[in-house]
Amino acid sequence: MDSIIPAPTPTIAFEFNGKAWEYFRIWIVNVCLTIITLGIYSPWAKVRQRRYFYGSTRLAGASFDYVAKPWNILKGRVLALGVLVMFGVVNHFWPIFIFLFSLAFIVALPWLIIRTLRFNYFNTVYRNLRLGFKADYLDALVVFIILPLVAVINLGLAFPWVASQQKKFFVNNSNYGNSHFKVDLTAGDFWTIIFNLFFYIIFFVAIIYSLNGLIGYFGPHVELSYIKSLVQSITEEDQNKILSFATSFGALLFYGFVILFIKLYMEVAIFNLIWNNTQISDIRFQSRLEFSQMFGMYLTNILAIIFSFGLLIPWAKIRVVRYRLESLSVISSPDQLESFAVGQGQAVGAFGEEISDFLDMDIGM
Amino acid sequence: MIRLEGLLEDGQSSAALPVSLNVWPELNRVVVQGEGIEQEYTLEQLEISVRVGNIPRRIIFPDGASFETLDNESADALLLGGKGHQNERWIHRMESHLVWVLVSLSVTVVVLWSLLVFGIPWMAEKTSSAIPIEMEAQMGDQALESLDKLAFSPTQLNELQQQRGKTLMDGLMAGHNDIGFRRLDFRAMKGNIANAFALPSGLIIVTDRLMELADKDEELQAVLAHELGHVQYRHSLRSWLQNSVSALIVASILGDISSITANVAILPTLLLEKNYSQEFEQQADDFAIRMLTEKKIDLCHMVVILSKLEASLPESAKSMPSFLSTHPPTDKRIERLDALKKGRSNLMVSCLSKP
Repeated sequence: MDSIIPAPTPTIAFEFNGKAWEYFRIWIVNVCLTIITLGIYSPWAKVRQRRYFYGSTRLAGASFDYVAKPWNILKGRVLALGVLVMFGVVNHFWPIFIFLFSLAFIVALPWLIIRTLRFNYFNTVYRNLRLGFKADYLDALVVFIILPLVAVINLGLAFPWVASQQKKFFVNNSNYGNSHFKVDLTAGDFWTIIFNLFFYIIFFVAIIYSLNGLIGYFGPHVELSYIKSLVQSITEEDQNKILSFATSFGALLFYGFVILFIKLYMEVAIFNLIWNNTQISDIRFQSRLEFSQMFGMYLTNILAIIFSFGLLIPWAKIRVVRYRLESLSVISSPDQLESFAVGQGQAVGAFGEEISDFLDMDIGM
Repeated sequence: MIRLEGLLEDGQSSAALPVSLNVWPELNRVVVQGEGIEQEYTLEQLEISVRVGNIPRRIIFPDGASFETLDNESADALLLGGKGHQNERWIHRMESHLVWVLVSLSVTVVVLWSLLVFGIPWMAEKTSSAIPIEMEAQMGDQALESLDKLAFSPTQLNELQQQRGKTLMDGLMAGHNDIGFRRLDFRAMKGNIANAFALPSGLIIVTDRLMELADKDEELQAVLAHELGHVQYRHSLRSWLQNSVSALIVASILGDISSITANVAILPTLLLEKNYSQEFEQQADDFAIRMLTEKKIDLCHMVVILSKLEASLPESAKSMPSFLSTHPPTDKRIERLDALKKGRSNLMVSCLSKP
């Protein structure tokens, strides 16, 4: 019995089971051990933290895992520290060579980025298959060094195009088992985001101006007896103090508010854009992250972190990760998720294989 | 017998089959059983993943297949019987006992607090003397350059007025060549604010309005002596080092630097910054007192110029609560000066009564 309308493909949502109190305990022990070992413990802390978040993420009954070996990360960090010290020594004794040193760093940067991505993807496991990343040095050189230079030369006008190329580089070079991720993006998508952002900002500014106008118009006529009685209980001098302090503090707050608004708007829009256009074999993704939700969450997180002197960082982090993951789902049947096969040359068995790679730079994507 | 339920993942495909893992520790026998599956292993062949919270455990078989289970308790029991890796078990134990969590918390708080209050200022002092003069000079020039863009405009003072400042500075500097003073400069400040700045590498900037306020030579000398105190102790460089290092340390310890939210954890350290600089101001005041006494300049002039400065401040700066201000409150500073000159009840009066 053939149906003209294809059966709707089911969606499977990501689940996140992380708990604030459980993560708090892991976090505080990590922090403490990192401090008393003068940072040597930090790779172990990192792996435990990642494993907690990956392991708490479930999709269709199976969870993710992060299988990097702390020793490898430690090796990478020692190496990075060595390079930094060398940089300092060269800078101090042979300042003329610092140019060569910087040039060498720029030449090595694309390679470092590829290695880092490879390390992090390779150590991510789902259903006992690894993620992977494979890219050409030249591609990375173009995307991370040459294109940004082009964008600078034409005053940032090429920025949306460069951003789309960079995101494509990240996604299109990654794979799960022997299947490759693929994302369709154009510079136009990024222009849309930027235009929307401008629209919101103009809207926002207009509201503030009109509010100002309203207060100016009605302000003197409004009799708010309770405020008045409150204000009368404070001396005039103190009133001035409070007012001027509030305005200077308010300006600072407003500035931070605007920066958060812009950063978060871009982040949410790009996150949705990428996932909604990504595909692997015939599986697609659906991301329903909402800016207003995220913005509210970040504002309350910031307040919570400040007033708890940082103790609520784990709670804040769990909240954000939960919201992000639960807004994401795959458009796929459970059967499709079972149909991936291991890639060529990829280690079988996530734990058995020693990896020679150890670069782990924490580049934000 | 220990029995665990979970998923078998063969490592060749993403298929996950529900199976049970039956273990007879005393027989050293492990059997994986599921629909059409029956595999046998020994306990030594299993590699059990480290426990973190209550995330699923993975047991890896020598053929690369793995068994994923939510049954952490049974997996722990297996570890006791078999040879699985025991390292890191104590970490999970720490994480799950309230006492150890509280111990970690207190160790963290105490170490962080003493690092910020004692360690970093100490390190900044040591580092500041190791920083080469040329580098500090570069920093000073850069600081002046950005202040020129943000807050300053060229001075409106004439040659004569500028010369007055320079001559007075020369008088103070006589016999003090080791202070590290480089240059005295004048700038007009936006909002016509009266102030003086000591930038890295011994650059001292006095604003036009301050030159106007300090109409008596001794008053200007009091201000210059205070700024020379900052120069002598390299306060500008030290506070820059302290502020950047403490923010970096808090951010890197408490969270990853990349995330916006974790970065706000730095905010409370701003309060600390203010404490650092209040301490520096006191040090500079003490230096000025010694210098003025040596040059036989009555301390009452310092009191007068402090009061004048206070009076000239814009409303918003005056009303800063003291915990947010970089300077100690002016009346506290004057009180300190008063206390130094015992016998005279009111310094201000002593100064005003002079011809």
